[in-house]
Amino acid sequence: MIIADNVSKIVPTATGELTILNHVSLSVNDGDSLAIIGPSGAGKSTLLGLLAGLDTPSTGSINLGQYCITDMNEEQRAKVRAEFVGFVFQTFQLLPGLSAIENVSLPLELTGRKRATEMAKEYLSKVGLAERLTHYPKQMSGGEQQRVAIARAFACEPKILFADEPTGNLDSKTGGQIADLLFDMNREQQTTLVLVTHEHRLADRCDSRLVIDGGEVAVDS
Amino acid sequence: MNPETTLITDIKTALRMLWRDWRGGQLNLVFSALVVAVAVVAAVATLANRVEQSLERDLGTFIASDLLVRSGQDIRPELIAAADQLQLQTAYVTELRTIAYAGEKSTLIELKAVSESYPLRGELEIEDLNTGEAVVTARTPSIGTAWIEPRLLSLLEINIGDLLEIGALNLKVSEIVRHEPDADTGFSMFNGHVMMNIADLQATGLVLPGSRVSNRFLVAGEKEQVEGFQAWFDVNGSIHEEVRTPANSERRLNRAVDRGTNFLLLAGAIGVILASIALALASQQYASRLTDRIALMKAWGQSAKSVRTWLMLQILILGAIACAIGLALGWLIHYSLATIAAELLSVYLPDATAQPLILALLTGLICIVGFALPPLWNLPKIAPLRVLRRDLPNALASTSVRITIGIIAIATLVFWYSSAIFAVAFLGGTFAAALICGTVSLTLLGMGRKFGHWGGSYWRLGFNNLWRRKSHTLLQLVAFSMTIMLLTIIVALQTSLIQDWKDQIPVDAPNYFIMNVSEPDLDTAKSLLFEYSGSSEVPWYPMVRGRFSHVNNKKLTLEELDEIEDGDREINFTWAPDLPEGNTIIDGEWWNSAEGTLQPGYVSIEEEMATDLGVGPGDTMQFSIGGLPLTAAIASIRVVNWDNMTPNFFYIFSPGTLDGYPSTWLSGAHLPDDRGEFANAMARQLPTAVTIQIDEILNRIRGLIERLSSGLELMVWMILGCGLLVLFATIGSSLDQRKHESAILRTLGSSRTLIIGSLSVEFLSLGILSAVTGILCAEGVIAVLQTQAFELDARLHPELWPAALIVGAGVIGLLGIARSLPVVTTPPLQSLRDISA
Repeated sequence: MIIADNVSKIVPTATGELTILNHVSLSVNDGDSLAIIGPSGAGKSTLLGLLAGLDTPSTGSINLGQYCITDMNEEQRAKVRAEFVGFVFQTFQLLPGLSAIENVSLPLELTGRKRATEMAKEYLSKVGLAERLTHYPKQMSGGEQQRVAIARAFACEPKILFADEPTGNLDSKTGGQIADLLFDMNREQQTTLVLVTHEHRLADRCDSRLVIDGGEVAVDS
Repeated sequence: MNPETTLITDIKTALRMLWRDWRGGQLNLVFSALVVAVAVVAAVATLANRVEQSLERDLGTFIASDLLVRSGQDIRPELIAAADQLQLQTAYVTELRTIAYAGEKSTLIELKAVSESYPLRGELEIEDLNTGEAVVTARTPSIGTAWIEPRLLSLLEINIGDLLEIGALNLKVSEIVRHEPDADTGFSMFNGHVMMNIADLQATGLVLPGSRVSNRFLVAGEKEQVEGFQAWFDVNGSIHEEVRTPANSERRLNRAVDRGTNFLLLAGAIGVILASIALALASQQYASRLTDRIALMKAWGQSAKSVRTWLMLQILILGAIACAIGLALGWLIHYSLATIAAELLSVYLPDATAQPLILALLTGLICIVGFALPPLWNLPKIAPLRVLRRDLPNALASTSVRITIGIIAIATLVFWYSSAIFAVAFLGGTFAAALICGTVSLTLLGMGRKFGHWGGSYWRLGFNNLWRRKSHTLLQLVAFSMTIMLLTIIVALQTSLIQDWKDQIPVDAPNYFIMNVSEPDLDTAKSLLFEYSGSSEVPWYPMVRGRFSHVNNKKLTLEELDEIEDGDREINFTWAPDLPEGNTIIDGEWWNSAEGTLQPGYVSIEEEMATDLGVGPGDTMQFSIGGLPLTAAIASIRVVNWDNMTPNFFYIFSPGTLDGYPSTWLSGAHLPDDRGEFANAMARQLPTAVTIQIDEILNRIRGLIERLSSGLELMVWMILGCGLLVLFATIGSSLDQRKHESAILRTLGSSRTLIIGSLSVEFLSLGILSAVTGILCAEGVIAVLQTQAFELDARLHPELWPAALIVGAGVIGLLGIARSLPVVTTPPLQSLRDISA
């Protein structure tokens, strides 16, 4: 379960303090999906970063499962991320020098997981890329790269998946296919999904949505 | 992701990342730069170590005795008696320079006649004729035989068992000498060495009264005995005698060896500096490519500690492999240098100790710590939030920090390679050279950019690229222009400078010197010379060997004699009624210029010698010739034209002054189209005379300079290789930006031809600018060498320019274009995608 209580993020700038998020609260039950939606610059990605433990709020608290990550230092948060969290990014974030199977197996190898390569193969097959195991990102289309990224994220069997505009760099048809894949695998693994998007069609597929505008919650449904 | 990361996991991560990054070509330059840095140091340090060992091997026995007395006169019976009284072991060595003949072949040699007890200390090694290995021998040449050094076999085209004519004697070549404990490291090491039995010396007829010989009386024994002999000598030694001990020989040798080692290592340091710069640039580029990866890995839960562990492990493993390969490559390179050195020094080089290995490995370590690690050090601190916010800092170390650490690392290396004074001089000199090259380069670049505006778009784009990346451009220009400057100077040494010196010698200057002609043989020598030259006007000069001892009745101390050129050894005196050609009186008068002055007791001194002594007309000097004193009044001071290739003398006495002193005669003559016939005729009729063909000496000098400079050339080509690494590193660091620019230009409609054209202009201009700067600076240095070292008129050397331009435009330009080709071969869409990702 994810609980954010009265979270604010204020950053200093040359002209004074800038409030990016202002007293945002939310909760997501295990296995549910939440879409964070809003216009550009609303603070969606900032909120995502805070929820994932990549950053710390100026005020408020955030709990991932039984861990209050706002009370932790970066090393402690890293351990929580290693245990709980997976990511899918708008820009795919595949490592260009690694093949598809290497990209997927990398996070498994980092944690010393055995059978990393076999699991990577398995997940690449699930996303329909069984024939592209040794291909490099530059040899793949955007949709194929995002499939590899999704395989990479789910291969680690995270409890929570954070997706930042996963279809943002894709055309609508490909984006639709990727969205289908994302939700299918999410359902299969019973992962809690937090999704940042500006696409309402994608947001509609989630169990709940949180509209952020100007750093504040506009709608919570 | 539950299992906790362990050290084993980090090691596996390091190995995986290392392999994958290597496979992707991201570590090529880092690796190559390290390999080159280690290889350069390994090569020069191994060579220096082997040469040092070879020369120091018998340091305690470098004079083949515990003490020796050296004299230009016969060894006095008093010395022998003193040694006998102290029950010292004794040996005798006589050395002189003469010509050895084998059939039609002849060459200048250093002849060493030894007694049977030689050497008293150290070991004489000869070649086992079956195995070719060097073996220690307790024997010395028996009567009627000669032992020669290996290079004489090819010089004279002889073999074991053949006859060698030395003076009036034919000796059978019976052994090949591989090592003499007291082999000289002076000029004589460039001539072939022949060893014979001292009992045969008289029969050669070479040692005449007044001949130029070096007699050595060697003693050895217990410490008290040797000290007793030294004490006796301090009281009873003659001015014509000089004592040498291992201590004073060691000081001289250590100074020479230290200077040589320092020079070699500092020459290698230039290559190491360039390789280090390439390493720093390549590491910076690698680090910038790692930022996104590390941010992602930290987002997945990797701790900063883990990241640092596998990152450092990765670099250390890479460094270890690079050092191992660098050592192997360095050994191979040193082998080429060692072959040249062994031939030059005519020595056998023993195997190196572990010291150069340690020096090279530590150089690798300093390069890793000083240049590879700084860009990577802060990477573990990258914020994981960077996966969402690319605008966050990339945690790379600042340029000023990296430069500071780099300078400290370079200074550490240079000071470690040499003494403090050498290091400071080297760093200062390198900085000055870099400053000059950089200033010239930047000026030319500015001019090129200005004129480039008048050219088409290729020129504008190309020069703008160079100007926009000014810091990289300047770095490349300085590195390459200095390298081309060095190459040009070396080629000039090999070719033009020697030829320039030869060209300024008058056409009819003597090409033969005839020496060691006794008084009874003088008429025969004159007749032979007339027969072959057709001229009876060839002057002959009497020569007496002696040394000066007093000025105005004040005895010169040993320290004063050491300060004066030739003050500590026998020199050549002559007498002449008339002022010889090539001499000009600048003070005083010649003795026949006024009535009644053609009488004994006067001397005319060369200008620089007079200045050293602080004497002028009216002063008196006392000399010692064969132990007999002679006083003469200074009548005049002369300027001598030493370049006219005729016999010249520092001291010329008035006729009659040297009567009664033993003398030989010498002359210099020009024999056109001779083909060595005169030398052969002299050898047949006057075997005790020494007939030297000047061309042979010049060819020997030229060969020596060619061999020396080919070794230097090898070093400079290595340095050029290091410079190319810098080129590749700077291109690599700007490649993404170039691809981006190219993608945008091509998207906006520019053709591939335009991009390639501007790249061609950019790198060919870089190469040509480097070449032009290198040539300008080289001509400056060569002008200094010409005027100061060779005393020639300065001139330009356009014959060297094409080669420099080819290296610049060809090597640098074409390689730069080739390395940059991904800019045009990468599809624009891919470049734009890569950048937006």
